[in-house]
Amino acid sequence: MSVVTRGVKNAFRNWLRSLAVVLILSIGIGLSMSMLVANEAVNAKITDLKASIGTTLTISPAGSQGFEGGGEPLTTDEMTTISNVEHVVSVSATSSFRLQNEDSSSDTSSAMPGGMGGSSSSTSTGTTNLVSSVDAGTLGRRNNGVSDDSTATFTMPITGTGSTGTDSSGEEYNITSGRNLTSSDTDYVAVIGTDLAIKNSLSVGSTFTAYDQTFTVVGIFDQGTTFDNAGVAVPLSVAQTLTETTGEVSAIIATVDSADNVESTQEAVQTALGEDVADVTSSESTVATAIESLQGVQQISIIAFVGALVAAAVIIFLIMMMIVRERRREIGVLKAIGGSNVTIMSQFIVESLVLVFMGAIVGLGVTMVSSNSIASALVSSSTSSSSSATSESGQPGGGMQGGGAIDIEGGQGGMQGSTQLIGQVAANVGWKTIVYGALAAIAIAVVGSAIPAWIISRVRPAVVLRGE
Amino acid sequence: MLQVDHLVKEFRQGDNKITPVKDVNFQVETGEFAAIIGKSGSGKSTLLALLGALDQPTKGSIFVDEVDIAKLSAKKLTAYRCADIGFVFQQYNLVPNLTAIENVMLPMEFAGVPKAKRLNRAKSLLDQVGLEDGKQLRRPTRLSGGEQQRVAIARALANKPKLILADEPTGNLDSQTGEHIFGLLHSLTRSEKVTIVAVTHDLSIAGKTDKTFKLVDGILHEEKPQKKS
Repeated sequence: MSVVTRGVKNAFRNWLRSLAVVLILSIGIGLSMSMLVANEAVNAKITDLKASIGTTLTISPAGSQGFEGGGEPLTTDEMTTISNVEHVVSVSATSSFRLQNEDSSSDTSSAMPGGMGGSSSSTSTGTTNLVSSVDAGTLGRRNNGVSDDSTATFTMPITGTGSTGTDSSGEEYNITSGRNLTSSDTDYVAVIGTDLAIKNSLSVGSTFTAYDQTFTVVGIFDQGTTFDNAGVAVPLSVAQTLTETTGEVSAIIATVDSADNVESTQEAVQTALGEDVADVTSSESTVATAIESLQGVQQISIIAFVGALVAAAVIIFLIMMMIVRERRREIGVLKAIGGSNVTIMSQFIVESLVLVFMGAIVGLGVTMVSSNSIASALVSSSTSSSSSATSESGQPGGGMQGGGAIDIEGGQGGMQGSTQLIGQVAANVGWKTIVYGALAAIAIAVVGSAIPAWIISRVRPAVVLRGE
Repeated sequence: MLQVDHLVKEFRQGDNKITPVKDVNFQVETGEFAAIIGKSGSGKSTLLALLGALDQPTKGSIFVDEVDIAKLSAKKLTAYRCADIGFVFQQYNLVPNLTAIENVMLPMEFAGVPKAKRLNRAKSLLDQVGLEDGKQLRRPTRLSGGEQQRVAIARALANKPKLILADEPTGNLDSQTGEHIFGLLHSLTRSEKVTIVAVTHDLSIAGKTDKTFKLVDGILHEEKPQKKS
């Protein structure tokens, strides 16, 4: 019978005690592995979020981000300035305009919703035969000076974008039918949002009028939101001509060479253009809040991981101490009949490893069952505590657009944004976790039995006689 | 041959110095059975621990076949205990979760004997000490005191030691079983050419050994030979 066999056999010497030890260890190891899984899941989420920041900067006329709009339009000269900033790899621009249905009430046609992308005073409005797919709703009427009980008809304007294939946030149109716009498009062609297409029964090849010109639909896009899918995009040069803003753009999108350079490039562009000329923004700030709360979860999970491991090591240490004390005489006998310290210590370490591995196997089951709930609970408690803290400090949120379907929750909007960004954290027990778990189990067994093993080496074989 | 010269063992107990073994000198020839008798607390077990390399003497020498074990390193002492010494204890001290045959195989495993060889020898030794086949696979708790002591004697013989040290080998047994165990030990000195030193209170057993020593206040006196075979 080898040292290993004896160690394994010894682990089952007292079934009841072994069972209790395994159960307690499984909770400790399971908890530590769950924390590891949660940490990995949160880490993956952070990586996703960082990747979602993208490498684009949005440059808008100064002051255009608020309710009031404002600022001077950007020009092609500024595009040149931006393209010369270090780390900027490409620059594209969009021009915004509005289309008002030609049949809508004349007394409300001038009433435009505030804060719709800014520059409300300077944005050109043309007539169209299209009908907006957005229902103005109560808020839309209220925000546009039309009382609820008014019999006047208010129709939401259609947001138009002069573009070379990207929307005003720099995202390429997700074309579901037909094709996208390109920088070489100069004809009266357009891509339109899914909702607008449905509302006006348009498909690729259909035509509509805007600014007294006939446009042919070459593509239909789906950008994922009601607001975006109610829009229309035409070639940038066409939009500039129709709105008599040749050389002017509403927004410039600059692409930075790497996500790591977004922050520094944002500052560089802002400096290059001047704060009174343009506002430079990235999605980093919103994502930063979400990442911050997830990093908090990561820290908690690491602390809990270490804590649970230490607890498991302490448990196995105490158990092994008890076993060594109990078997002091037996250790003496083994030494008396020729067992070396190494052999006897190995036997006890194997015994401790067996207990810890059994605890780890049951703990793996505990992890599989609980890791998702633990990860979700950690993320949820962390984001909700951040949310309440943010809410108390009165940080303004988004959702200022007006119109029935749009969120206007104000104060909590910012944090709700980050909570939505985080969404679900999927915790999966992979091979990496199992390997880490196994290594942790070995570490627990070795650390937990190190002192008992040292005590074993100190047991004098004469104890076997003295006790008699 | 076992030769002990001027052996002293001192302990410190608080501020007091205790000397359970004071200048012990004796000699036992190969194949002899020697008994050490003495009152409780006279230092018998301490002397046995010194002879068995379980403890280090304060002074003196213990020669086993001309090797002074008092001067061996810890590692060599382990090897010495494994190869040259066999122990038989009053309370048998078998490993409780191993079977009788596994207990006998244990010292051979420590000595690096291959599994098949140690299994054969363990079985042969258990047969030699008279433990029935059916009981060889039993755990110690399912054996009587006499049977456990037979297993302990078989275990002591496992690595063909030069010296067997027995600490009250019949102390926990009834007189009839004690007689049998003593007889077994005695026969081993002949069949295995092994030297046996037994510590005992039992004067009747002491009277049947080749040599008898009496330990009084840490000093060993050889009793007049009264060998009865």
